[in-house]
Amino acid sequence: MPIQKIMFIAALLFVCATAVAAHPHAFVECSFAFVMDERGLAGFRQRWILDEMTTVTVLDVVDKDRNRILNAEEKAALREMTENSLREFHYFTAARINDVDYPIEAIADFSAVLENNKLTYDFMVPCRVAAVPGKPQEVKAAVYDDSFYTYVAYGPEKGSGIDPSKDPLFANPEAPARPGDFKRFSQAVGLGKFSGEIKVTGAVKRFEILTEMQEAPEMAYFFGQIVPQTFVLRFAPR
Amino acid sequence: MRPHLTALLLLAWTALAWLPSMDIATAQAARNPFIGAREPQEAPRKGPAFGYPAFLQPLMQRSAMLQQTIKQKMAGLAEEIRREPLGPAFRWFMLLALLYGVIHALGPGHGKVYACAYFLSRPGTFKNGLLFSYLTMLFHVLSGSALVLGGSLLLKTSGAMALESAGPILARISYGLLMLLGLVFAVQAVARLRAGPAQRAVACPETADLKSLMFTALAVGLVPCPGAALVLLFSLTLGILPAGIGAVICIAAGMGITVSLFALLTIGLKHRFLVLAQGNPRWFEAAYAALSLSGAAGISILGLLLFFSSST
Repeated sequence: MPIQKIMFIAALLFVCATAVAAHPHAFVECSFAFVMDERGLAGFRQRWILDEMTTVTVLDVVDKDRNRILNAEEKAALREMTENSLREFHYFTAARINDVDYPIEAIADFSAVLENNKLTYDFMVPCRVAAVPGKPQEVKAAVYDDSFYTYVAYGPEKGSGIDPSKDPLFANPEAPARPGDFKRFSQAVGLGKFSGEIKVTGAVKRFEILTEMQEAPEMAYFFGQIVPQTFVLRFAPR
Repeated sequence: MRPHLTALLLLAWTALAWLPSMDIATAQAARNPFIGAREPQEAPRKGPAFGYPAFLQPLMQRSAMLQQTIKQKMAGLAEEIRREPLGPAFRWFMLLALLYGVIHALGPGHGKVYACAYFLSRPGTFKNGLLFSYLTMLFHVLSGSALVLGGSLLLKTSGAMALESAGPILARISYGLLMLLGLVFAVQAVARLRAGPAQRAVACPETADLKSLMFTALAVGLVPCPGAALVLLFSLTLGILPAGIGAVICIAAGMGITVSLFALLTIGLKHRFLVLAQGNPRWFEAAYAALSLSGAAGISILGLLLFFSSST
């Protein structure tokens, strides 16, 4: 999409941030990995690629010198803003450990780069689960924004090439919201279920590890229409 | 036309103007998670939280798509305007801005309901209707433009950020003023009703009190127009500010066309209805009281709802 068009729409989106408009307003492609250390699970490594319009909206706040290059000071401001503003949203991450909810309160090791007019966030979501001999631990994690302001799609690190602007009402603050927004968006941009590799990194050789994707109807949101997929990890010491 | 048919038309017209406004009053705000925090006490959604009646939603989404197309065409002209500031692209830019204004004002939050309520409650001529509509839209775009230009040029900060921070404050002041204005109009309506039938019969087709008209237009227009602000932001970023200012004026003119349509039809239908009802003094009494008080109550109640549902 041309940068002028992106800026035009993003400015409108920013200006109308409090209006109730058609969802979603932002699109994030998320690559996800379980990170193991010596003791067990250390957390979830996530890499988010923000869509171009959300990127412009964020840059409008942090890129003070308007050169579209983030210097150290601007990066620090972006990290602080992101940590604060996404805290209430639990960093879009829902986790369950052995079927008990685990609230996500913080992220660590945040960094951001701007590539091809898109911001990419890289960060760790700490979630420590110690391995117990003879008792496999089960961890489920899903990444989604239950307000449906943002749609989070799972994909590879470099992005899956989904173009949210194929939906003419994406990030269009003047279109009223409707319960059919997800269906419209999904069909227009061609969303599908994630069936790629589930990454587990770090000290993986110390553990017996099983992974799978599961649907989580209990996490369904936006009038129950969107059922998130969860990354499931089961592990025990070798 | 028979009085009851005219009354029905008047009622339907006023209801049409009210529908999108109720959207603002009941809607839940969507917060951008990337640049601001979610409201801590946001109530969980139990069903559709969106105030548009179902039958209007497809229409409004179509209108939004049309606005999107216009905006994209305007964005495409920017480069050409930079090369030739007063060339054909500039004229197209202005024309598209006018068209954008006409359609943009059909959405919620552009003073249509206040135009209807004001002229239900107060006397007014067609000229007054036009004056009210264009003044309101002028203040509406000036408010947004002042924030964007003030933020960008004077405070050297993000124009969008200035609008984001100061816009809700201005909106709240506007809602508070309208709440009070509605009450004042209600008191004045009661005073007119108590003054006697002869005075009321004379009062209804008379010219509006210009002071109250201008003050109401200012109170309604204080809410910054996001559409006009967007064009200015865009023009600032691309270095075509003079074209942006011209476009903002065209947007105001376009929105004025839409809002004045609502105002003129209200004035016309009300006048026709009261003229027909004049044959029956009891009918006239009841109709005059109902219109005056419902208009004033409408202004006050909508101001109240918006005041308490908005946050600064």
